[in-house]
Amino acid sequence: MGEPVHFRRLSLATFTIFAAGIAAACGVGPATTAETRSPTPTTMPTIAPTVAPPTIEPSPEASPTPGPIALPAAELVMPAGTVAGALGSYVVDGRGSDSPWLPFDSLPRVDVAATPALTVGFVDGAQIGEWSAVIADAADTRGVKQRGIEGVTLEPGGDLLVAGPLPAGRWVLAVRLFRADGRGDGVTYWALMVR
Amino acid sequence: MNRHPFVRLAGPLLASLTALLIAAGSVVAHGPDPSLGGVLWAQDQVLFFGWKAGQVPPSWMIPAIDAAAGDASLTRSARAATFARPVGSAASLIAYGEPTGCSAAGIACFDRSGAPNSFRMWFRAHGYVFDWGTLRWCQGLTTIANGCFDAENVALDEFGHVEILNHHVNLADGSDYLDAVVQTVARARPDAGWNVHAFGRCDTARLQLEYDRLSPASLFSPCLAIPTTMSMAASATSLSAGGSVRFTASLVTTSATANGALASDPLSARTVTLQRRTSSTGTWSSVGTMAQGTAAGTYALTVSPTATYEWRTVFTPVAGDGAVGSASGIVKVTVSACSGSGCPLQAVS
Repeated sequence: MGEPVHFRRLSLATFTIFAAGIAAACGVGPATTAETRSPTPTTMPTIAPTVAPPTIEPSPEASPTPGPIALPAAELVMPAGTVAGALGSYVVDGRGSDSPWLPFDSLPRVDVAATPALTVGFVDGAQIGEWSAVIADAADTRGVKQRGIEGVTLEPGGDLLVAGPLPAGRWVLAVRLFRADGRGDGVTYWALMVR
Repeated sequence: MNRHPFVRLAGPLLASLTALLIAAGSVVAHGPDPSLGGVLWAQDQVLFFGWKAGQVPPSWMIPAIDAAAGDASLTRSARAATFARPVGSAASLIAYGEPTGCSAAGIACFDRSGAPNSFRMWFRAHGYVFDWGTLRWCQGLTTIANGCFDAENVALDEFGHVEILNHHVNLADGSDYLDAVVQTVARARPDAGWNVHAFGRCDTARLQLEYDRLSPASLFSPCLAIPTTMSMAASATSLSAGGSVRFTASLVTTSATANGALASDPLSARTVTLQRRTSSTGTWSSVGTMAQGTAAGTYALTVSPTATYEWRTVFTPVAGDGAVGSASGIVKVTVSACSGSGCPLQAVS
C-alpha cells in the first residue's frame, strides 16, 4: 500500500509548514536565513522561523518520478529570518492540489511596520519565472475582493520577489510563484498586520 | 494569443519594464490557462476511471463526479480527452476520503503523471477539518447552505487538470474568475462561479492550443486571438464584359508556433466576403459572401464583372470566435468592353 505512506509523508511536510506558522504565532525565536537571501532591512517581523522545503513523495500508482517532489511553497524573507506561508493551490510535476482562499485567521501572522517592500521566495530557493501577488482585507474571508500589489519586481538573482509597499491594515497576502524551470507553481498565503 | 496578466521575465531589462507596467496598472489582459506541461493524452482519448477500493465516494457524491466527467467531455471544445466510468475496472482511479494526495489545505487533488495511461484524483471527505474551516460538500448536505463546495464544479476543475490545465491566472481583482473553472481559489456557495458546470473560455483556449479544435468549423475560444491568413485566386485576370470569373479563397490560421495545435488549421463555416474597388485608391465595396468550398477552409464565388476592378477576400470573425480577421492579397481583373447584343450589365451567380 503506497498511498498511506505517501499521505504520512505529505502530512509531515505540510505539518512542517503549519508548525512554522504556529510557532510564528507563538513567538518562537528567529532562526537563520539562507546566506543568499538578504532583503533590505526595512521590516521587522514578530517572529521568523525557518523550515525545510516541504516535499511529497511521488504517487506510487502513477508513473515513476525520481525523488521526492519539492512543493512550490514560498516564504517571506525578513531581516531577522524567514516566515513560511501556508500553501494553497499548487501544481508540480503533473500533480497538484486545490484549495479555497485561505482566511486571515488560519494563516501564519506577520507583524510589519509600514514598509517599502516585502521579499518573497521559494522555500527551496528555486528561481522564480512568473508571479502574481494580491492582497485582500482580513475581513474578506473568501478573497472575493482581492486586489493587486503595485511595484512587484524580481531581484537580479532571480530567486526573490519584492512586493510593496503595502498600506497599513490587516491583510491576507497571496503570492503565486512559478518556478522558472517550469515544474510548477503555488499560491502561498500570509496574514499581514501592517502598522 | 492574448497576454497573460502576469509577467514573463526574459531578462533584467524586461523585468524592469514590466515592473513599471505593473506599477502603472497597465498589465491587464486575459490569457489561456497555463499548461501543466508533461505528456498529453491522445486526441479524443477516452479515459476510463473507477473508484479506488476502500475509498468509494458516498452515494450522494458519485452522481456529481460522473456529471463532472460528462461536463468535461461535453464542454472541452477541443479534441482533448473525454472521461467515462465503465462498469468494470479502469486504469484511472478516483478516491474519496483519507488517504489523499492533497496538501494540508487542499479539498481535492490530482496526479496526471501517469499520462498517457492513467490518472489519479482524490477528494477530501465531507466534514474534514482544516485550519481554514470544515469542508462541506453541497451534495452531502440535507439542506444546502452557504459555504459548501459544489462537488461537480470541483471535480470538473480536477478533470481539467487531468487534461493538461494549470490554474487560470486571473486579473488582480479577480473580475475574470468566470473565464475559467480551473482556478487557484475554489469558491464556495454563493460566490460567483461556485457551481459552474462547463469549462470557461480560457480553459478551452488552452485545450484547443494543446489538442486542436473539434473540427475546422469549430469556433476558436474567445480567450484566444489566433491570427489567420487568407489567400485568393481568380480563374482569370482578363476577360470580356459578360464573361465570368471564379474567385477562390483559402482561410487558415498562421503557422506560428504560439498557435500550438491550432497552427495552419483551415477555418470552415466562416463569413468570407468578396470585395472590389475601382482603383488602388478607391473604397472597397462588398460584392457578396463566398460559398464554402468542398475542401476545409476554402470558399468560392463566381461573378461577371462589367468593368475592371481590384478584388480581394475578407474574413471577419463573428462575435465569440477567437480568430483574428484577415484579408487576402489583391487581384486585378481587367474587363474589356462588351460589344454586340446580349452584353449584360452585371450578373452575380
